[in-house]
Amino acid sequence: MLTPSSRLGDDLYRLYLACLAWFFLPFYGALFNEVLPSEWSQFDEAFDIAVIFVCLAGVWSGVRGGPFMVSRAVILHELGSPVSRRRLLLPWLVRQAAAWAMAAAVVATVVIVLADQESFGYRVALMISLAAILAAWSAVFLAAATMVATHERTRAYRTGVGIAVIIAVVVGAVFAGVALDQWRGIAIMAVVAGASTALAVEALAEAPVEPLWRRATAVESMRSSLQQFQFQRVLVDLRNATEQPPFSRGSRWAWPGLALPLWRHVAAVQHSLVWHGLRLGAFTTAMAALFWLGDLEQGVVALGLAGCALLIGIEVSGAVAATADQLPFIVHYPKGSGRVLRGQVLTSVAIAAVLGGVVVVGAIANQPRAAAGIMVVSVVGALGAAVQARLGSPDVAKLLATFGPDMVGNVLWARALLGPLLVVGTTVAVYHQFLRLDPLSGQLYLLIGVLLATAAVISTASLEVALKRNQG
Amino acid sequence: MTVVLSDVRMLFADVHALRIDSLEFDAGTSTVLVGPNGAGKSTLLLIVAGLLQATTGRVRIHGAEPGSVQARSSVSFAPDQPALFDDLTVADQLTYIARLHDVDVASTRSQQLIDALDASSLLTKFPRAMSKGQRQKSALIVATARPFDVLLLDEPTTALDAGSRTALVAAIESFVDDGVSVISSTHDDELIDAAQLQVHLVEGRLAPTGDEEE
Repeated sequence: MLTPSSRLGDDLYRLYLACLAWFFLPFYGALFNEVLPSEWSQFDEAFDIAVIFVCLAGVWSGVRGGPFMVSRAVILHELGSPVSRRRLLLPWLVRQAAAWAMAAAVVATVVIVLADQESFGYRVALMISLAAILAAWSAVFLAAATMVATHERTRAYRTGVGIAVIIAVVVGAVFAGVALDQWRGIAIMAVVAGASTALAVEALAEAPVEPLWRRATAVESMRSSLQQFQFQRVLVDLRNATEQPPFSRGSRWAWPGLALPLWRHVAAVQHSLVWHGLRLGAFTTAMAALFWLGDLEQGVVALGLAGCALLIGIEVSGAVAATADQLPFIVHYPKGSGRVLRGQVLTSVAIAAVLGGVVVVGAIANQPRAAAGIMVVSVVGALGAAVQARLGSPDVAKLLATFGPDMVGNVLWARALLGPLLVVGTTVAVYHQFLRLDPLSGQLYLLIGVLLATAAVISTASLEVALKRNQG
Repeated sequence: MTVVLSDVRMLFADVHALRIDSLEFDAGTSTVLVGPNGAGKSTLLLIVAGLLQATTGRVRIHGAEPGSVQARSSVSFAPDQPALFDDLTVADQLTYIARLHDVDVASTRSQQLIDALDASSLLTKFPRAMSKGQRQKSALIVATARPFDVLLLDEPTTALDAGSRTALVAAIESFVDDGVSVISSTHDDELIDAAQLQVHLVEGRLAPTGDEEE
């Protein structure tokens, strides 16, 4: 939504995401320069085919309703106003494309490295990241254009032809032997991304709201079902939201409540000061023990440190959130108080600054320093994600508007956990060859396991007690 | 005529949700759509609002297609399930929606409805902190925070108390006096009795009884 109070934080956050997408990831890959051999040859064809599939996936997504996931309020009031739909939807689409581009760069890099670690190197990381970013960007905009073409009759022919030409260019380039992870191929992908963007931007002026409305209605139904733990209904709504026909709700689809215990453990609750102190102490002790006992160049140690940092961040930021009159995981943005907004912006800037610093240092330093930098990124990223999970961010506000605070609370937990762990996991898998089972002492594995299990029990015990008391 | 439907067909899979040969709504009239559940009342409103596209047929609002910029400028819709921004207070929503229409919120009819429904206490509330009835009141108020000359109301009184229902009926009459075409779907006798015209729908078709205009 466009309100004056939100604009500064929104823009800065977009800038932060863009910096991550465009600068951090390629250089993150570049940190592995000279650690491993720089030859590679086996997987470029597979990558080219994958790019074709990514573009086709965009078209497929567009046929099923496109990349937009907006609330009924947004559709009714924003898209139902005389304001240009292009102006309303384009910022949302750009943010979506940036997020997917970032994810694509990570996935492409990780997959290639895991597939052929021996032949991985600086140049490959950079080129693959660039090609993946361009492919994902193209796919998102192709999805938007396809959505318009398939749901708005007046646009079907013109936009459809444009989409077909773009797909033909990608397929033609691959079958003509152009490697998309080389400069020539990247130039072609840049043109494809530009053409996809132009096509979608032009088509969005006539964006139809029917598929968006149907999806939003299904999502609201899903949200309601989720809150009532009607998981069968959730699955049906999920299918409806993606415009698939609902499947049978017969007994074979019955979903036992296996997720319930986990759900309860990640629910947002306020704990007492005593428990807060105990948890803080436990995680700090765990972190200190890892520093003292662990080999900091071992991936599994980095993983444990990041997990502890995440939990400490959540504990510490809880106090900040309380000071700012924020209920846990409930964001008042964009109404937001100035304090909350400043918290969001400063957190984003701090994370971006640290990431940027590490990247620069890592790029010019030798490898041991780069390895340390990667670990700093992991730990700081975990801490930052935890703070953001508490204070909220503009994209969280959008999620909140769509799904409501209860569901977003859980999503935030998942995001805060998965985001930094992905970075750490990448580091572990690539740099420390964790998947190849480097020799690590059994005692260290045991220590980490005991520490994390203890932390989990301590952090959730009070919740369990409260739940049981309420049930009683 | 403000709203004109001709040869409109709406198919959901193989089901005919709506089959209307001809139907028109005048400016300055209050019309209620009545009929049993599944008769197509909400579908008709969604089509006029531009949120659903008829499978075949022609719908025009002041000569423009539903969903066009011209139609969006003149049609306001309050669906049966309130569509509110969860992260804005009602007051913020009113201001925001008025800004989207490039008008000052004070120049809209929202204050009139706030007074009628005695809803000033809702202005500082977030939707998630409201009861079902309060959400419905808020949604109705929000629907008036913009210029409109066609007002579509889908089951607008289902969650309202008796006093609020009467107040809403009075407010609708004043909108109609201002030249607004108000089209409501309802099962509420008070709203039906107050309407100038009734359109009966059965299984997506206009029924031959009542005061419907065809």
